[in-house]
Amino acid sequence: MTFFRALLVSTLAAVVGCSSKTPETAFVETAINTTIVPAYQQLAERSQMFSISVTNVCTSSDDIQTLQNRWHDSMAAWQSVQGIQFGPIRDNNTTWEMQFWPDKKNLVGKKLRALLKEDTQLTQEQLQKSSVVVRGLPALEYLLFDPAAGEGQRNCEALSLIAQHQAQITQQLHNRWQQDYRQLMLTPGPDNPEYPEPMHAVAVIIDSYASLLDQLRDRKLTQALGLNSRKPRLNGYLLESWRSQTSRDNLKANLAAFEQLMNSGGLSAYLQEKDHGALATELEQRIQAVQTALQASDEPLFKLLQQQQPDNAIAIQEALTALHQTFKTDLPQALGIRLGFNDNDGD
Amino acid sequence: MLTGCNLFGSKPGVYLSAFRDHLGQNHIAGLNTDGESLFSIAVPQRAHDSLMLPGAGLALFFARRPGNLIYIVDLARGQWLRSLQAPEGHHFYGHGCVSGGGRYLLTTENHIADGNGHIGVYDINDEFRRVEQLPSHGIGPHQLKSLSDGKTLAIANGGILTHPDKGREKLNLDTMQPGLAYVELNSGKLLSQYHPPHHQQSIRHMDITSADEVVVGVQFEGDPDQVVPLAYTHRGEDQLQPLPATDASWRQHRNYIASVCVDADGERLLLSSPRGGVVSGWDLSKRQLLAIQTQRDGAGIAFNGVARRFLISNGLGQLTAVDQQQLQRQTHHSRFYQNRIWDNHMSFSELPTGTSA
Repeated sequence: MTFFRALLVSTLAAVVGCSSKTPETAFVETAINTTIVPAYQQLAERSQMFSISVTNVCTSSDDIQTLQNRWHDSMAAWQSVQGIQFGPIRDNNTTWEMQFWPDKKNLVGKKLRALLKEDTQLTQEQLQKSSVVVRGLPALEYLLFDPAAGEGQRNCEALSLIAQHQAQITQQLHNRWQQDYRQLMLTPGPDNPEYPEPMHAVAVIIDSYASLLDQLRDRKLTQALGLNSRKPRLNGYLLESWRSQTSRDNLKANLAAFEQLMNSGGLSAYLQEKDHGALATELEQRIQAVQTALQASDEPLFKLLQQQQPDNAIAIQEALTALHQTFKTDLPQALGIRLGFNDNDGD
Repeated sequence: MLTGCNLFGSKPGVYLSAFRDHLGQNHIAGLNTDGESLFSIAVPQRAHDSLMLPGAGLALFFARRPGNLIYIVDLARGQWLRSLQAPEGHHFYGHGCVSGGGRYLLTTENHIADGNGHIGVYDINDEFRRVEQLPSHGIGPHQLKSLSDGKTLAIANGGILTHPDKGREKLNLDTMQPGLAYVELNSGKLLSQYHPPHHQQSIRHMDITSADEVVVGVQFEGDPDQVVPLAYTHRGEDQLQPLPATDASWRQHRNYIASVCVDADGERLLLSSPRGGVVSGWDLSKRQLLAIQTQRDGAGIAFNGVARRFLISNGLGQLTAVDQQQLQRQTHHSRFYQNRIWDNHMSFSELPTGTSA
């Protein structure tokens, strides 16, 4: 939204000159500089690499395997920012531009098949006019991993256009963090449109990572395990990234992001400074427990569920539930943060 | 910083809102158009919406479910005068309106024993004596408005059954039947009723233009991943008319609309979604989405027709002013109140010139 961007700039001008760093601002600054902005930078770089790779494959110098690997890199980078869903990414529902999921009705497959069937040359304009579901990482995944996608010129056109689009929007996200949003978060004050007090920036970070834990606990495995259904049934097709069978890798990247927030991101240090060292240790242990469960098997979760072997997925789910409890309930309580008043208890 | 200039408006007017403080205590508050406190009163039950009776100089605050109180505040003295209590076996839903040429106060109520929605009718000129009880023609009536004829009520029946013994648990999500009901004030007769396409689109909040176009906001109780329209208009059509927006735009509202607020001309509409952390601005006459703004935990919206701006409240303690036409944020008219977690709704009322507020 352009009018909103304009106001950010004017707000920044008003609050420059603010000094005295609180522990809150120190944590936010560390998190932004070591975790948040680098995560968006990595996403932009990998999206750019993928786009270059597409050109190489479509002109036959690289093989498809290389391109698949580049896609894995991009997806892992996206998983690292799934917990950073505030700031520029909120504009225009950019999250869906990156990844439309859950996709219970297989819209990605259906809409892409329709797009590939048309016989006129595919253009960026056409892509932008199409449904948002054909422009994200799952669309690329379909083209690269789903046997139904087929091969040929048309696929190359689609891959190339989607890759360009991804490279462009991820670069924009990174730029906007660099240009103004970083400053906005670091200069709380009564005139700041989003952060009137330093604690509000802490709360946004905690809230956003907590929302990712909601996703991890309630979506990434629950639905595939049938835990939310009256007639529980294992269904690997409800896993994230089932086509490339990389659901486990996604979860590993998510957990690595939590680990990063705790360590280099400064959350552990901030908790220690606030006399919550025990809580920091507990969080680290719970993160480790999920990682241990994730490393307990090398088999893709999709394969295990299709073979009716849910044990490993259930173990991961249980470890995630424990982490969720500590992060979403104990952590905000310790810091005196309210994760949304009207949000959680409206009417 | 505030000397002499009117932050929020230019003529006498009052903003009303409930808030919770950082210690968890609930309050009701009034602000003048400079944004200065007129009163701030700790109350036993959490209040929801509010209403000014400018002629009487009284501010009313409605307790939300399962509360049973309406707080009456004397604006000139900033004093809580008294409370109205819901009749035995009833609780309020947090909203009310005035109808019948300014004579009657109407409230939405739950008859706890059978779960039927009631409309309580109180005579403002007779010490708020409860004179009548009308059916809301649905379960879980929430917000209601009076049409300009002063004889017809538009009632948002949310459809959700709750019982005080079960807290705020929703008891009938599979069978709920939300709807917009038009009810005759004098007889309680149902004139017409309109249901949204999906039975789990709970119609909760509404506003009405001077030309009697009703806008309702939806809270979708179904699959959280499903995207449905979250606002409908109605003015004489056979069905509710969805406001057109892409799935991606509705998705930003996370299936939840808290406040619906139209300007006096019926041109601009604001919808708040604290779950999505956004407020969307619409051109109502062209039925077009104009912008979606970040507004973390934003919920209350009031339109100040004198200053021609909307004021948006949020759980961070901010009141953000946006101009009526472009919906641009007006930094100089926005304010931050430390330790005030503004609650769901905010109202604005002009006051007769010469009023002390």
